Amino acid sequence: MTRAATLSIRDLRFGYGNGQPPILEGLSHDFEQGTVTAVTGRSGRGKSTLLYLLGLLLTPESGSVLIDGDPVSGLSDRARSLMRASSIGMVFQDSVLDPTRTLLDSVTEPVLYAHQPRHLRQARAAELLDAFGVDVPPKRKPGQISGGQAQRVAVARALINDPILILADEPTGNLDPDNARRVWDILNRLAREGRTVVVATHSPELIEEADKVLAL
Amino acid sequence: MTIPPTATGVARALSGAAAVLREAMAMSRARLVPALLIISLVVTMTALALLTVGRADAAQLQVAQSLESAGARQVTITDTASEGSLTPTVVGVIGRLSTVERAVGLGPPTDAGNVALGLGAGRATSWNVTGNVSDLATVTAGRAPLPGEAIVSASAMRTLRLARPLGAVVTTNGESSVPVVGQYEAMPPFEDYNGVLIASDDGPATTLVLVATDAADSVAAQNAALAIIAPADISTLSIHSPATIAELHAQIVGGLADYGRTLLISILATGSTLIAVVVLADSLVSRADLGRRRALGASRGTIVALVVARVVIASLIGVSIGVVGALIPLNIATQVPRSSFVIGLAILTMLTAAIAALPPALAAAFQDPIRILRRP
Repeated sequence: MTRAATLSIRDLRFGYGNGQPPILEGLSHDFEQGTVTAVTGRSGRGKSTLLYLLGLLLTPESGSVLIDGDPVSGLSDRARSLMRASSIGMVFQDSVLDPTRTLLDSVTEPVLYAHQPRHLRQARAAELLDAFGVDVPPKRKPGQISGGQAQRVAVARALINDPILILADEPTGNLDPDNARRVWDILNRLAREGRTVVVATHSPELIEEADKVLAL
Repeated sequence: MTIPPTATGVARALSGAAAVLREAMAMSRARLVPALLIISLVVTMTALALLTVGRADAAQLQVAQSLESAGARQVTITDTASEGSLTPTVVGVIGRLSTVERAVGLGPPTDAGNVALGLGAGRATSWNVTGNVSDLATVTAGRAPLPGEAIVSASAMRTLRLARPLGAVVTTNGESSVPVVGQYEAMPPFEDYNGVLIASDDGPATTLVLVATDAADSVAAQNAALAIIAPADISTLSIHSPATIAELHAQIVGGLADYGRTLLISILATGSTLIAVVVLADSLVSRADLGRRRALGASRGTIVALVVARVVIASLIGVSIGVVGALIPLNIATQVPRSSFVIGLAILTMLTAAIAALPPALAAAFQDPIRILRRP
């Protein structure tokens, strides 16, 4: 059974400094378990920033990120990193795969950071690649596959540690409509399995199909 | 069976370290140029240090060995005025000093001949020995002499026409016939005392030869011996001591150590600076890789461990090649430094490389992954 959690933000404030006003201020929201929430808004309104705050890559100036009611944004780098590796799956606009490693190694990379034996997840990685229709030999390198396939490999990588949260930053931004649809379907399926999925996107189609929309 | 929590913790830590090492190796294979640069730098550092400082160490060792030879530890005190101060008691007490390995008293050299053939048939040099003869010579045939008995060297046997170390000798100082009971071979530093040694327990010696326990103790041994002899007039004694030689040797050894230390520090400092530059440049080139790792859950500590582990792996290879490469010419030149020096240098070089990698590793760990991952 898939693990699940509630994800919330309370009075979140964050800015990039340099005398500029905060990009996010007083933001509160509950991301419901088993749903896809689309975070939308014009460029520069903080969609990606919110995702990085939820992914514990950034620390808010004030306010907090809560998982199952527990504040997690103030934890140490070590604790946040471990949580990111084991409980949060991140998908970026670019697939951001290691060009020097095989697809199988790319998918199992977060296992290392979750302090688990990497070789034990090889079979699971192959299963995920197969489930997401990456029908190329897993010993291939990212440079030898298409952009759509690479993005599906990135989704497989996000799921290798069976995370409770999936955060996707413009996951279909660089894909053709067919591949965009396939990735979107996968994210929807993950939400139906009980995970909390948050997607930052500009795409009107995706916003329309999302269970919830958070406009910034 | 329940595994104790501590054992589980250790096993987990070891497994984590092994995983980081495996990943660092994979990273090195993927980016060969920086790895090869670090290997080259470490090979150069190790080989240069061994060929210069290592040679100095070998030379230092040779100086130290010559300093410790029995000849360099020998103090000779001669009673030039025949005051009779080097009595058997004095020789015995000096021989028991903690700073003295052995001490013997010797009378003036005289001629000795075979009693059966007379002095005209052949003469060998003879000495009366006060103290333990075995401190001066090793008996190779027959037995050690008692007071009033003699032993002869192989060359003296030929001169005196003794077929076996048996018979008797007569000396030119008027002593009557002295029985020969054995053959001897002189021990270092008494190689010049080849002839006839007559054991004596009465009458003072004219020369005292002592061998200090080590070169550094020779001055202390000499001073202690003089205090025991306690001559009424010190000018009646002639002293030949290795103190000056010991001092000179100590200066040479000290000089070599200073030179080696300065040179080693220079080599390691230059090498570590270059390694730091290579690691920093590689971290900047690999920003995307390190940023991705951070985003996927690598902690700052993991990033530092990965960067340093890469350097340690490259250093291990570099040190191995450097040691083998430098030991071949050093072996040919018979100037091989001590194994402890080689092992110490290898560890120090690896440690220096790892420490040099730390600042750029920390800089890499504190890079902002968001800047790398964000697309406009």
